[in-house]
Amino acid sequence: MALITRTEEMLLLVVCKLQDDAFGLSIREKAEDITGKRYSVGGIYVPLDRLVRKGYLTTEDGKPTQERMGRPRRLYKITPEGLAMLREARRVHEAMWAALPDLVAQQLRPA
Amino acid sequence: MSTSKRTQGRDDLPGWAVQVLRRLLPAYHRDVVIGDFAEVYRSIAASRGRGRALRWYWGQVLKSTPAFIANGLYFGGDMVRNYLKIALRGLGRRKFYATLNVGGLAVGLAACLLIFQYVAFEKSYDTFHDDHENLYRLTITRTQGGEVRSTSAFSWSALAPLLEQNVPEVRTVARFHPNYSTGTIAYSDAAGQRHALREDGIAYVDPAFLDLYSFPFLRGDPATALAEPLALLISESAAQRYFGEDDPIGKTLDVRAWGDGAYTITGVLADVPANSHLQFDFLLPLDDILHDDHGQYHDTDGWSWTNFVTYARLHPDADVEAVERKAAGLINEAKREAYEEADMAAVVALQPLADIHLFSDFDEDWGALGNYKTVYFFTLVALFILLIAWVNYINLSTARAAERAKEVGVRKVAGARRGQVVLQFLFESALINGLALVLAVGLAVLGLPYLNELSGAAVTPSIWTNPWFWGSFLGVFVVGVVMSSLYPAFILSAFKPVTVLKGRRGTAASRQGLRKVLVVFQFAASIALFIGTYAAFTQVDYMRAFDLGMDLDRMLVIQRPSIVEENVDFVAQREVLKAELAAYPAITAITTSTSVPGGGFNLGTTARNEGAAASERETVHMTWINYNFVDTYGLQLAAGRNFSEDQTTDREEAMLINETAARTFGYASPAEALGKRIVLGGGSTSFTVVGVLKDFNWMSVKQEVDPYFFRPTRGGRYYSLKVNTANLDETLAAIQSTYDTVFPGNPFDYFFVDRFFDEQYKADQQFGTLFGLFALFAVFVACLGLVGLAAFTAARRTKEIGVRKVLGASAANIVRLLLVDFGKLVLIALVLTIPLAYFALDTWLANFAARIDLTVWLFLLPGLAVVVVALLTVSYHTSRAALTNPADSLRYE
Repeated sequence: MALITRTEEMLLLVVCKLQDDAFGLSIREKAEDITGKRYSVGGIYVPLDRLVRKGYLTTEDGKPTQERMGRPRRLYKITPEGLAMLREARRVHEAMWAALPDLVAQQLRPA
Repeated sequence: MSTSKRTQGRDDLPGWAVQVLRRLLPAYHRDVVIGDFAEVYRSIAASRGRGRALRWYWGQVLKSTPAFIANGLYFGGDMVRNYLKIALRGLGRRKFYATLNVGGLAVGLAACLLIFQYVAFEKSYDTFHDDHENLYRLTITRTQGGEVRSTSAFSWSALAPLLEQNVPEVRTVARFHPNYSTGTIAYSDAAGQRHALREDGIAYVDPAFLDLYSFPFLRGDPATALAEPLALLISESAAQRYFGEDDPIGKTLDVRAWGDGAYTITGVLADVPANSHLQFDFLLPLDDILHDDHGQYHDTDGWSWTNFVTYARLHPDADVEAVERKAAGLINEAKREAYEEADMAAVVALQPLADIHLFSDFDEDWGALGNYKTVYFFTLVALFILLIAWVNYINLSTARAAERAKEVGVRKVAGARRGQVVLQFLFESALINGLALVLAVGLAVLGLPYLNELSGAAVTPSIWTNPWFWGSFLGVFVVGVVMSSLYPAFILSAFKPVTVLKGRRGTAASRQGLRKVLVVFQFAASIALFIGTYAAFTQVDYMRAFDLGMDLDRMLVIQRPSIVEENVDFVAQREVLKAELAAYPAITAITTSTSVPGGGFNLGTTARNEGAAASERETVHMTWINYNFVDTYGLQLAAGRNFSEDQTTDREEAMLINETAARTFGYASPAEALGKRIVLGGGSTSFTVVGVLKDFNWMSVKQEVDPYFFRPTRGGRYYSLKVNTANLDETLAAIQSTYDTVFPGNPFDYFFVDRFFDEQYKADQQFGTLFGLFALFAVFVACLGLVGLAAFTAARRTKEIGVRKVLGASAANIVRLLLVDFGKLVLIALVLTIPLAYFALDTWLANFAARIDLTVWLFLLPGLAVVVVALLTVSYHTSRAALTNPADSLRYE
């Protein structure tokens, strides 16, 4: 299984964290909170689409509201494949970070 | 979701932006993203206001655009990857065409970017002030008998306080006194050493000036900085000049300008930005000169001198026209007696601050002024260059269409729809345009310093942050992609697979026709620009060489000392200076005057014949000159005599006028004016005409000669020395040492009147230089296209040329054959251009009183130059084709 990118991993996690409230704007905000990186309102959909195409996310359109000019929200949910991918990503991370020589581990400790 | 619900919420949203979004978004996301935008927009509008929200909306639309496009492509990903591959292969295989295409576009776009920068800079004047939309300059048009007599940006000192009291829409009003903003400013440092410098940025203002404008303060408080007499604000760089790194606050400067005094520095301003029509280094309280007991203004009611520029901030909801009417009412009331007698009236126009730089055309004005016509004109030039570059792309791609025919055929057989083929070529165009754009930005960044140097405009790189600039930039890119690819894409996508795959070409003939038309257009535009450049330079040379009717040669000017110790008899010392200078063999004559040629007049006023009605007053210009000025400057008398020191009455009574003045006051011949008395201004002071000077140009020959009056004086601000330039350095050193000895502590500087006079043509000179530069760009880009076409034609006709040579044609025959094809097009362009150029030049030259004649050579010389360059351009490929051995070119059969 090909690994996903850092951005994709982060977005999958954000969707998980937001649970039933994961839609474009909230994902964008949360992602900004965590990474400090700014996405344009439209830009966030590019990686999200990629995840949908790869089958890690599904979408469901919510109810249109007046404050959204009568447009629906698109809610994102993680799929079992997405969860599997996250599990795999985590395993790789932990394997990468595990068993570092002491000296390096010390230098890498969070400040 | 119902339609009504949708429309309900839309009213306060930026409809246009929503439409842009709708177009940009892939159908799949359209509703969701528009909804996202609306939601955030609402929340910003609620918390931070609608303006903020609107700005946010547009900013986000622009920022999201690349992502949307990338997203859209992602869905059609496989095909796009294929397009990209094909496009890159095509570029790689045809490096020559690729270079021409990308290079031509890049140069064209770079020229365009530079012009945009210049335009954006010109348009940015005075817009850096907070609230500039509500700031106005008060301008006055004087009418007499219903006809416009003069227009002016200056007004009376008494007007501003009246406006403040009587017109409620006026929130703040401030006067600015720039006249003769030169003076000498001296500083005595701690060691007692005196540093005197001549300064030309000294302005007197009301304290409210600092409230009206947002010139940033580095030190000091705008509310109090000019509240006290003898307070002084200094610019950062001026402070640097006097104090270096020392703190200027509280230091005292000895100012000798419109008023004299020891001024204490209360604040430091950042240097005035280059895009401000107001330029100054020192601000002093206006009250100091208004209430100076020895000054020009203390004895007046404030309605006689018009040396003040009045600026006002209006209430945002004010009806500007109503304010104008009220202001005019105040003036006409205050000056009722004089106006009624002369059948005059004042009309007031409030000029928005941002319009001052480009849209001012007043008889009397002050400040850094430009011209909107120049700006529009260069925008047009930019457009021409762009069109020429796009035409290159169109020509090169349609010329090569046949090569792509098979590819299109195969694509169509494999199931491509026409739309997909069009999309492919659009994509290729976007790629090439994009590459060119990146190169163009690089070129423009490199070229900017040279542009600044040539144009004299201080276009700073800060323009890169100007949204207007980026908007046009994006527009140019999009229009470029569409313009340059639509036609080729249309042609290419129309190929019928059956025809092209059988090996036949499409309808080549008609496309060749269009190509020819486009080449004619390119060269018509290039030739027009060249003719314009040539004419502009010819006109400037003509003005410089124009016989002014006076002798400015070797005339060196120094200025009257402004620092004179109290116990010194200035007049006596002045005569000492003159005598000592006259003793130098290198100085053949000395005269003095209150102004010098090219430096304006000292008094603009009206005058009438003694006994004539007040309504028959004419506008005249007055200057004071020494008794020997006429001889020293080589002025000719048409009638009468010069002033004479022996005639004791001359000093009080005599006046010299020019021929134009004699005509204006109704005298059939100059001799008839002699002995007549002319009354100056609204009073009863009158002078006798003792001589009439032949007409000469005191100011730029762009202007008509006006009525000039001259009165005698023994002094004046300017001392003109006729010098022998053989040992100039030595002479200058001698003059300076004499000056320093006779008037110690004064700055010494000098200028030559001929060069000073020619400064008046600087703007025209710069215009010509810029124009020439861009004309070169245009010709260069057009020639690049021609190189491509020539190479293509030569390649296409290889076989024909081979056959011709086998049948006995010489290389020269072949070259002629090919050159005639191109030469014809360029000549047609020349013929088409000349009438248009004639009309355009005739209109432009109407601005000049002294103008060149439109001779045939003015058009033919630059036109033929372009023809020759074009022929040289194509001759390389043409002669290569002609020299090919037919054995080689026919062998592939």
